[in-house]
Amino acid sequence: MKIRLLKEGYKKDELLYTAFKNGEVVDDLFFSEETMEIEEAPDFPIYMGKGSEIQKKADFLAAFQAIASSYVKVDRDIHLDERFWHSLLITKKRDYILEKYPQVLESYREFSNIVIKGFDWENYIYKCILAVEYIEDATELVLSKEQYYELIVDNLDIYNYIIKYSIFRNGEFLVKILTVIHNLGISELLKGKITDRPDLGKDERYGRRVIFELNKAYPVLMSPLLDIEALEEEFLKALGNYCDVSGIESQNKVVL
Amino acid sequence: MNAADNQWQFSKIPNIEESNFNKILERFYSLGVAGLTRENIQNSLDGRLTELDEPVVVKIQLGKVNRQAIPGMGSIVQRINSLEGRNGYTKETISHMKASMMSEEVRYISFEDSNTRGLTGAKYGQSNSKEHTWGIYAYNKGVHFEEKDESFEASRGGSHGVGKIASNAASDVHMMFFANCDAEGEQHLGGTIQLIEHKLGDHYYRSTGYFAKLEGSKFMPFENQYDKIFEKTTRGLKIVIPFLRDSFYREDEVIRSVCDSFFVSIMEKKLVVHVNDLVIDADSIDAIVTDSQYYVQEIEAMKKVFTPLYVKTYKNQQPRLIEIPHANTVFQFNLYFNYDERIPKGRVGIIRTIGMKIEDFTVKNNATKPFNAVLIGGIDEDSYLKSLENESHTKISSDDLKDPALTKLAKKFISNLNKEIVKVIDEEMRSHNPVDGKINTSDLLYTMELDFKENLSQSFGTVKIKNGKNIVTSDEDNKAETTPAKVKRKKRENDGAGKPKESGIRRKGKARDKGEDESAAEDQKDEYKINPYRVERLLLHDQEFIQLNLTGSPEVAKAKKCNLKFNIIDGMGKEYIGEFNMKENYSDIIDKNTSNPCVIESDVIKNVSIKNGIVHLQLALKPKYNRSLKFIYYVEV
Repeated sequence: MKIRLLKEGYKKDELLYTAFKNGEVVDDLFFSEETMEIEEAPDFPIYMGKGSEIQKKADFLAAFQAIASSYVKVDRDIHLDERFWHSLLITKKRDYILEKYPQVLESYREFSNIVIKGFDWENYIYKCILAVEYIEDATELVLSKEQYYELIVDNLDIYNYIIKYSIFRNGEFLVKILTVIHNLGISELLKGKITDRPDLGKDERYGRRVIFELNKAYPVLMSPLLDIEALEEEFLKALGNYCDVSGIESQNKVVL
Repeated sequence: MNAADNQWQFSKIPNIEESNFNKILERFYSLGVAGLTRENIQNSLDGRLTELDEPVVVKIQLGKVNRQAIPGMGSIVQRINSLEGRNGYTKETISHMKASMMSEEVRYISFEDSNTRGLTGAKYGQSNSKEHTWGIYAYNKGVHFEEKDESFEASRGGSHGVGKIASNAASDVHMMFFANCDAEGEQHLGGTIQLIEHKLGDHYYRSTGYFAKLEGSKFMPFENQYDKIFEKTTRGLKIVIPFLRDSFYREDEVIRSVCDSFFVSIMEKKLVVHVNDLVIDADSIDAIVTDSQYYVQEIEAMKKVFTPLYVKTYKNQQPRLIEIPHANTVFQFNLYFNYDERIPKGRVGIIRTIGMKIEDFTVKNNATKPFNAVLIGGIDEDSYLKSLENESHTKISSDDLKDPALTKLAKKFISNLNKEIVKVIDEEMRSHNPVDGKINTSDLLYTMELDFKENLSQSFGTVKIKNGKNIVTSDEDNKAETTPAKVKRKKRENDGAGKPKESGIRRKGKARDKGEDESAAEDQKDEYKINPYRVERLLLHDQEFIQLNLTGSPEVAKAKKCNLKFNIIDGMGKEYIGEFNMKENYSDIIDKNTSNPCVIESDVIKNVSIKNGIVHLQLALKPKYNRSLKFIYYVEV
């Protein structure tokens, strides 16, 4: 499948939105000379910002699966290219988007937020691509890939923070952290809001603070390089700043 | 359906396979009324009578007509009501059709040409003969009839064979008519409408409908006895588009489009266009392109539309020959070139021999050179350019070619074309900007030096600001070691400053005279960021020693007392204010200069002495102290 790439500056072009609404993004005016070639481009959910938790989880897993079976196999230059994704969505996925996210027709804001969202850690496609890359490329997994995919969705908050900080943005670290969380069985705790610390920000959660603590300590403490046992220890130490961790112990769900 | 009203013919098909409107409709719709005008005039030029030395005349009418005048509306309304949209876009289009089709007053545009051949063989209807152009034009999509004369065929404008549908796209209900009068004076009316495949009664029908009667299995045209707007009494073709889209109903845009695309044909007296009452010909085109009603007249502002420039260039300049090697031959083009310092964007209008502009060609790396040019080739060049055009005839590129060998040749051709034009541009630039052998580069060097300083200052940790002067400090030996960070702690995006001036020290007296009584003095203190080079830190089991060397900045070193603040630096070098709580991490702090304890508050250590420019603290750690943390230190004096 040949994807024509949109012309630079398309993000600020409200004409593009109007044309998209009318299904008329065909004019040369919108496109650059460049094209990208990919073999197949299956549909997958591109926005999980709204909906029930069950729906979000199902969408994430569907996205992981679609990406793992196709997009992740193409060159990184392609699947990590923002312009590629936006061009693909606008030129080939209009019907899918309108069906699944009809709100994009309502306002330019919705369109910007769902279709041409900046390709960084807040973008759902970006999240999914990285997750799939990390899990598919991992060589030493103690759990099954499916379990890791579920763990990512169950610990999205932590996952977001890991890919937000460039120092932690790597597959091995993610897999280790997920393994630790799984092993300690503290997914639910980590998602919880910290209520007894008004000095912290408004929406502080235990999981986020742990990752932040590890960030603050880097590079004196090179957490990405620790093995799972040592990481578990540091993880609990960081968590200990915010709640009582004496009751948490390794449930030895997996043999390390 | 009664037979009398059955003027629109749709072929039966066994079932519905395609639920979309013809994609080409969208493409032409997006080109607007300008694209429509261009397509139709081009078709008229293609149909010129070669034996006649008269210009082709195209009369364009925009107007309104009563709905009654449009033939066969009854059956069309019935068809449109039977359409069933299966996706968002189709549904939207159908509901738009339904809303438009009932209006009493109908906008229309018509293009009537003369000194053209018109179509032949209309009376034979759908004859499938190559000679009968009516049959091909009226009942066949995606082909155009090829000329027997090869050079004539090469000069024709159309080539993709999709132009006809441009007219359908302009109509709210995708409807168009064509009235023909042939050499024998026979007058017929045909038409097409583009719907989607649909079911009516018990049958399925194709998307395209033809305004015709069915004789046996053949379509036959009606003789033209319809309303005045359909009348065509002289040899040639008249395209009539009823239910013209509101956004297409723009006379000035039509006029602009005519001038933009066909100024060469018009100036060469090959074409005359009437738009309602306005006549555009060789005599009037100058006045039109210099009329601010139609075109921006300030040369400096001509950044998208270049027609006034092209017209001037083509009229006033002598052509020069440029040669471009291609495979075994050499293509020769005439280049009309005009150099003018006021021109903001340099473009080359590439023109086909029929006088139609294909593209405002941008010469690689020369898009903003002050020139304007017009490029025209001969028959061979024309047929090659034609193969490079895109469907809407507005760009040449290698993208539309399928054969890789041809694509390669085409890329080479375009790059050679670039090269040759660049030669001309360079030559003209040189002759207009003579080089006298000496250039004053001092300003250039100054700018470079400034840039360098700026870059340098950004890449070093500590920079001092005062008086708007910049001084970059690069190592420990340098004197400006602290940054007044009072200004909202702007980290290091600030520019450095030269010698610290008195003003920075002025408030110290107040702060100093009574250490404890800070209520009044506190907000007047200056805050300085300490260069990490100047900090020494030693961590023991339950103790930490910190020594700050402030001798590098005299106004700080002169002070006797100061307050200390610590901000955490995270793993990515980002600074967090107020993230570190002193009270929770230090149990006692001893000032080693005086052996006195210091006051610990949550975000500041107070009453710290400075002796010979040195701050020296011993801090007792609480058990929860995180030994992995890193800080940036601030001194308040």
